[in-house]
Amino acid sequence: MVTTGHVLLGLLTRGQQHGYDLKKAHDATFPAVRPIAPGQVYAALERAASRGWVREVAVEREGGPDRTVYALTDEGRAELDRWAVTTEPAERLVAHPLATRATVAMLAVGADAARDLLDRQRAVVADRMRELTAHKLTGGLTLAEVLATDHAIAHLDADVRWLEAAALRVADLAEELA
Amino acid sequence: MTGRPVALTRPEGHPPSAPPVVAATGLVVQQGSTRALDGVDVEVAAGERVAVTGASGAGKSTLLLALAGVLVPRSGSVSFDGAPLSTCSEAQRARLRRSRIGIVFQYGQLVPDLTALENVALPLMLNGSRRRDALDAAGALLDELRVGDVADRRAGEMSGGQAQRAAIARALVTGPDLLLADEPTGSLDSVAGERVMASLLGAVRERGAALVVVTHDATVAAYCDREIRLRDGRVVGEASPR
Repeated sequence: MVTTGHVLLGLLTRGQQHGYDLKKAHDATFPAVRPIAPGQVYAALERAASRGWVREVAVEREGGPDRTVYALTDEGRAELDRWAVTTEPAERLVAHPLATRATVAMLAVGADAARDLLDRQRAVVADRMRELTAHKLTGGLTLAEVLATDHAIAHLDADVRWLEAAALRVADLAEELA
Repeated sequence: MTGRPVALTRPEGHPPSAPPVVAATGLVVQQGSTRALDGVDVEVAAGERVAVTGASGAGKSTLLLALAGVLVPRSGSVSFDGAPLSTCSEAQRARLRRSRIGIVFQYGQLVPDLTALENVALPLMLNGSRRRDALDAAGALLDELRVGDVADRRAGEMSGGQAQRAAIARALVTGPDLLLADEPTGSLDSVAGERVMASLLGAVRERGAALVVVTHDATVAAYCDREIRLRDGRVVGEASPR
């Protein structure tokens, strides 16, 4: 399970930082993830501090509000090393809206309509894959951006494979019923 | 069928209303009892990159061979640069393939006893270039595709990705107007495949050539401007260009 605290520990390996810098680093490193709210960062840092994973090393005062600077502790580094190499459980079978709609189309609207939906849906997914591939080909992306784009393309590819298989199954079903 | 003969050399730039580089109309190809293509219409413009996708047996490779003039359709026609291939003799079609159409296959199909450099120079030498000039041009192209460092290796001494780049160089060395690629990354892992596709796109864009890639892989099709989907020998969908 990805927790904000562990991600922040990872970002603190680059050196001590205050909460707002960590928020900016998080959003830049994980462009595919929703930007993190500052409140989430401060809450996670306080929890990490209470567990001894980070410690306050300074308070910066430069015109604006006080900014607490945090550093990774040895305990935090050990926790990060353990967490970073722990596997994630495989995703459970989820009812993706795309699969649910296609199933309803197959069951309730008829084979022709379902096949047409599957073809059009495939075109929508393929268009997005083209956009992401073009984005990757522009070059100049960070490793984090390339990895996030690869991940998105791989998931869309899985959708395409499912849509193609579903179209074949609809054809088989229609033949059986005929 | 009549029509103007296919020019075997590149014309001096295309006029604004240039015909498609290659166009198929009502293409029907029968293979035994199977109708491999059943009334396919396809047009590919200069500089356009088109993916042909579909399940096994959908007719993808058959379409590619028909566009290359290797397969003669039962009915319908293929035109290259506005001129129907049906007016060409087999020898003329072979010369057309040597000079204006490049073809890349899944396994590269380099001549095993020749080095990468000699493989790439071969089409130029067959077209009458001097050996030295052909080798120089081949070397420059291998450098462009970032495999200049393995120019002296034979096919079996290169990685799959390197061999495929050499095969792309061989297909491009004559400066074709059309590059046809059949599953060009089918034997490669995803990262090597990505590098080959990026090289392929860069090289065809540099030359303003059109590209037709046959693939069953949506991630490969995503490199192209447009996708033509085949099912049971018919076009079932065309995604719009970006």
